Amino acid sequence: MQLRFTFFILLISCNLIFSQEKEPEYKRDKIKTDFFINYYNQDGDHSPVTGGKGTEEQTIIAPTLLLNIPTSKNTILDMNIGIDNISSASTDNIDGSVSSASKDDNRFHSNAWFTYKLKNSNQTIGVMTGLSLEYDVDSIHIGGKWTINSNDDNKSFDVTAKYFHDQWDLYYPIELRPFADTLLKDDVRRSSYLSFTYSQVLTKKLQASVSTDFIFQSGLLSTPFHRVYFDDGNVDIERLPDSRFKIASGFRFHYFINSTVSSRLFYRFYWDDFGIIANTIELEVPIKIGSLWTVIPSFRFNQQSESDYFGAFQTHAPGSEFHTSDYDLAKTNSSLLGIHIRFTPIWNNFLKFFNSDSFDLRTSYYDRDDGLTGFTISAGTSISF
Amino acid sequence: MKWILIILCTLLICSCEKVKPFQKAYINQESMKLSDFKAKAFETNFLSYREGGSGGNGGKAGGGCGCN
Repeated sequence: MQLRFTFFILLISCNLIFSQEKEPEYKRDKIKTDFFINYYNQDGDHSPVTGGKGTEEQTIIAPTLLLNIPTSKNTILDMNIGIDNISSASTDNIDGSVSSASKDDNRFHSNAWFTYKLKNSNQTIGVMTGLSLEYDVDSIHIGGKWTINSNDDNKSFDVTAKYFHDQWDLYYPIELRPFADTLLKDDVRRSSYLSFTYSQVLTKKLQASVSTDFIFQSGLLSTPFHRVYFDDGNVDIERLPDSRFKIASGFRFHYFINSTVSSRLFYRFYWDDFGIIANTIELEVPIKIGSLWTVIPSFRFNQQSESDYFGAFQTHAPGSEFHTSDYDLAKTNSSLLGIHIRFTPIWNNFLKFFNSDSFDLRTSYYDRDDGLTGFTISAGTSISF
Repeated sequence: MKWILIILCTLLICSCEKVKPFQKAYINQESMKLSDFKAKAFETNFLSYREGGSGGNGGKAGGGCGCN
């Protein structure tokens, strides 16, 4: 009897021990990849390489790969890798040498964000590192971020900080190279970036965000091979102050109008201590056509004031401490018209072989009122596996 | 400009409606995300090179390249 009782207790105990549910093993979420091929072409007549006058023709072909890799239940690795092939007619005028290295430049760039969602918390932290390599500038960057969401996920607050360390090779215009020892002292540009972003769901159909960036730059802020011609005909390199403070505040309002049309409105105010104040407004209107296609026309307008140090070709007084003829820093108005087409193969029909989630084609035309025009086209696909 | 910013920030701080997770079908759509489309990243970058102003949109704001 006692033996039977002992055996019965043992049997129950074993059953209890081995029937306890083990925590399910983590099943990795899908890895998402986005591959884009980008093309840009521009032309104008105010090249800063030749003192604010001359061709600005430039072509860029830039393939880019984006990876989103869930490495565990709470961690994600986001990577971005790209190569920009830049052909520029104006940079060939740095030394007048046809087919020099500057005419055809390749820029390799990559960065990676590693984010960790804190357990039993609505907070996420992340760290970043990256680099950029081109013929005259090597850059390394590091950064970090902290995000907190409300319990109902209706509000989110993010703080991001980054630091860029750019090491320049000082290529001067050929006629000024004999004076290289006296031209520039610093060959490093340091950029520190701090951003605060707050986003909120306002109604079932409206959500908005505000993002404010504070950027402080120091060191070499001019471009060594940009020329400036004074009103007496003499020439110097571009010279700018060794520090620059920028503030940019962007607002987004996204409204779901109906099952066919949404609206995405963006406004940015920009200020810096070079004297530039800029206002930018952009409207995108996603239009769903059936369940597979989305067409997104967009319009963007930018207005900016002139930098305190800008002057057109042969307008600067000789002996001025700071001077530039770069029209990127001039008083300009610009507009951009774009169209973006997205195809989402829900049924994965004939595209099942490629396992693509979506295809995107985006093109835009840029027009600046000083005569610069630009055209871009980006095509890409998103794949999960 | 100052008043526009004050009104916009006030609108954001005040929650007009408490939206539950099952009521977010509209705002969770891809086109409603509060960030730029990935296909637009290259366009945002070249705009930061060709204009004096940059930032405020998650894109480049200065440094990291041979640009402004």
